Amino acid sequence: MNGRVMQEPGYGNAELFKQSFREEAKEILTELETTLLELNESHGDTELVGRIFRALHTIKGSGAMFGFERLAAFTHNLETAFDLVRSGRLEPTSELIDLTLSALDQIAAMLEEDAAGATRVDFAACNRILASVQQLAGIQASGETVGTKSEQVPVEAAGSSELNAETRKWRVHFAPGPDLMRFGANPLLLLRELRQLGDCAARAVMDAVPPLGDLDPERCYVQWEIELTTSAGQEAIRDVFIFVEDTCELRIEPASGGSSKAAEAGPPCEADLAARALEEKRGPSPGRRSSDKPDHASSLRVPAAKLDQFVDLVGELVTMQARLSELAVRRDDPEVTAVSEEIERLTAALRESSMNIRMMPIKGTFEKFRRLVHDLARDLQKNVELTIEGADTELDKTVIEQLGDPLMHLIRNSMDHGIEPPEVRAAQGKPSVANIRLSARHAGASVLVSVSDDGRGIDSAAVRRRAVERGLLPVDAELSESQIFALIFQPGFSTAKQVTDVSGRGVGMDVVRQRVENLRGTVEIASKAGQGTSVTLRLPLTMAIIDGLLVAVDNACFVLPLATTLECIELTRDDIAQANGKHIANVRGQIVPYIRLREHFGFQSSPPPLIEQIMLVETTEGRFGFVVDQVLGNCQTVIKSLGRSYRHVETVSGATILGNGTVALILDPERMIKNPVRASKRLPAQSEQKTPRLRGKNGCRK
Amino acid sequence: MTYSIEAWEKIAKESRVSIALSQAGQEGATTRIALGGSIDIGSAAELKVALQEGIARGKEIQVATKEVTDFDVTALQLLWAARRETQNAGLRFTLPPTGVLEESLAELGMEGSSLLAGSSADLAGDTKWARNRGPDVE
Repeated sequence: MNGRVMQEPGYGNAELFKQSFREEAKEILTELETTLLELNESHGDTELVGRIFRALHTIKGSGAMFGFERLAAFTHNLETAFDLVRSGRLEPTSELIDLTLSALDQIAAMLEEDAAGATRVDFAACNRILASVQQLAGIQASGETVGTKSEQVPVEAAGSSELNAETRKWRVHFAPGPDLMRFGANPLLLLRELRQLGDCAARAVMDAVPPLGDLDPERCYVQWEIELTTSAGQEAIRDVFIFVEDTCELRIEPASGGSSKAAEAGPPCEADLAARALEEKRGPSPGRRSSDKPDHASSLRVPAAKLDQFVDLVGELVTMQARLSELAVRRDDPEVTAVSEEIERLTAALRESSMNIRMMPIKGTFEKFRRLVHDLARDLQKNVELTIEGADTELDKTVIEQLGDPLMHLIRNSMDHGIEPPEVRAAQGKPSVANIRLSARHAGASVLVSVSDDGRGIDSAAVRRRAVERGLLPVDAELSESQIFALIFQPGFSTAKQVTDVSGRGVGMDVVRQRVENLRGTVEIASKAGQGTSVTLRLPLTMAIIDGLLVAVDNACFVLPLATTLECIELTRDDIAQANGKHIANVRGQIVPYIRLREHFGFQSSPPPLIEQIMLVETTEGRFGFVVDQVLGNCQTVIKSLGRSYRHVETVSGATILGNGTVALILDPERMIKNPVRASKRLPAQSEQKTPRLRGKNGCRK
Repeated sequence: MTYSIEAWEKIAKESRVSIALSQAGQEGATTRIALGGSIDIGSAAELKVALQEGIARGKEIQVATKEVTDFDVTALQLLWAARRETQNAGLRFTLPPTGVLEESLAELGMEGSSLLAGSSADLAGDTKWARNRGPDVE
């Protein structure tokens, strides 16, 4: 006699499926937000209303499927309201749109709720939103509140507003693919949702179920033939399967006969005819596999961590390939050289591909600011229109991820301080609706991201006055307008309550500069009083690799970013003598200050060469030179972080491993010149600049 | 370790999921599989093994689902495949209907799948087996 007991906690990968839903739902929420804001501009657009309804319906239905009952219950009321809007029984007022936008924030918080019950959901706000939506839409309150996990997902039909509309009989063929169940989907819940659309008769087809021994227990072999009589359209039926479309065969077509008004159902829609034609062309395979659709087949969702790991590995490969190349040169063996060159070619191609994978359009980041502008315009009682240009411009994933905060600060500043109140604009003859333009475009190896407004502009005199008052500037300092504008990035400006007195542009601007510099970028401001301001962020295309010039100083190697390097000129002992010991060089009649890296890093092990090299670089403070012993050549290097121990070293943006295995520091010219510039202008140092002391073989240590 | 049917029932009640296999009848000709909790994709692999073992051992398979709270399609297709297998092999397969089982079959459109054919409700409770047939369970 045998007895065995098995305990299983249910779906082993449930959290994985939930995470997948979270990611998809977040994308839907972002689109939903944009669509709501578009609807706010054009109240009568039925297509937008339809999109909003379907998005809410999808979040509700799929949320319930993946165990987000609270989210599903909360979304239900919004869905009902937009169902009423869809049927013309409710106006899509700004109030309803604002409520829905607020609700989206709570839905986003609900998505992040974890199994332990940790939540950022504001239940009081949820209940207020629910009550207001119900009141607006005339929905009878069911007495439920948000805040307990006992909500039941209402089983009201999606598309219920069409119940009085013409009903039609549809035939649905649904055949789950091999992985449908493993992805956490459950046909039972899909059938339940389908039943909510109308009169539904489902028949399970067991023909494909194999013998018990051959049966994969985690795969669904059952297929369904469903007859659905509903007033909902084909899109609404398809929406039921939206999260499983890629893992099933799905065919939806009007039934040729049957009850209701099937006889009047008309011919299949164009899309179905096209799909059927395609199927016929492909052969006898029944049904339409959604994965055949090019838009689905052409993209793949991969966790960001995996991508980062992949790029890291490619970085390691590049480093090893450089070592191999150097080894091949040393061995002087034609066979080894040939292999090395081939690996170098392949590595370069792989590096290029991996970097391209990291590139993402900036659209997602830009679109999020529509909501910010909408909310701020309402709160500040200003009329502002956001224009987005170049949203398809691609940037490195890391850059995009860190760009959100700086852009938010800039837009807030524009809204708060730059854009005038409507009455002021009217008095100045400006259009009552102000404009904020968010744009992105490529410029060589950089991307320029700008935030521009047509507001009052920066009062440079007031900025200067404030800087002098705060002791940031001597009274007699001679500064160009751009240098005056640069003062608003000083921390003192960002925290002063009176910043708005100096026509604004202070709050958070130091944060903007800090973040952008962390991304190896720069910030430029252009402004005209009364006409507006434009802040441009110049950002590198990628954070992972850098095109640089490899230079040698004493026994150490450094990398200077190629993007900012202008030219290389010789520095002789005579030149140094003529300058009377000052660190300046005469470059075709222009005086250029320079920093001797030997002195900067304290190298003393060998005397400098008779002829040194000045690397001229362009910075926001003008042209500067960096004196090195020798220029070794171009290099495209993978940037390695220096780690926590060196986090305060601001003059170095990272390190790279050279072919011979030694480490070369990647210099940040912009930051290296900050302290000398401050000293020359008698500006207080922003923070203590720490210079790394290098030692060891080749002067380098990791 | 020795379990009685009552002990299984207790385990089934206490556990979220349980699949218990036992032999009964003369020379252990009847294999009983008592299911409890939520029988879904998470327990489908175990259910398949239990059904295969049951078919391999006895002349009759009795599946009790009184303690089951949920079925999903993977569980039901396994039971359906097991039923077909036993029929082909000339064995007897009994799956007494319960409310949850009938409801799940109806929702999945499987009421016409003949899964319950030949089974009667009076066998639904495992306790009855225990009481009437007095199984020894190891």
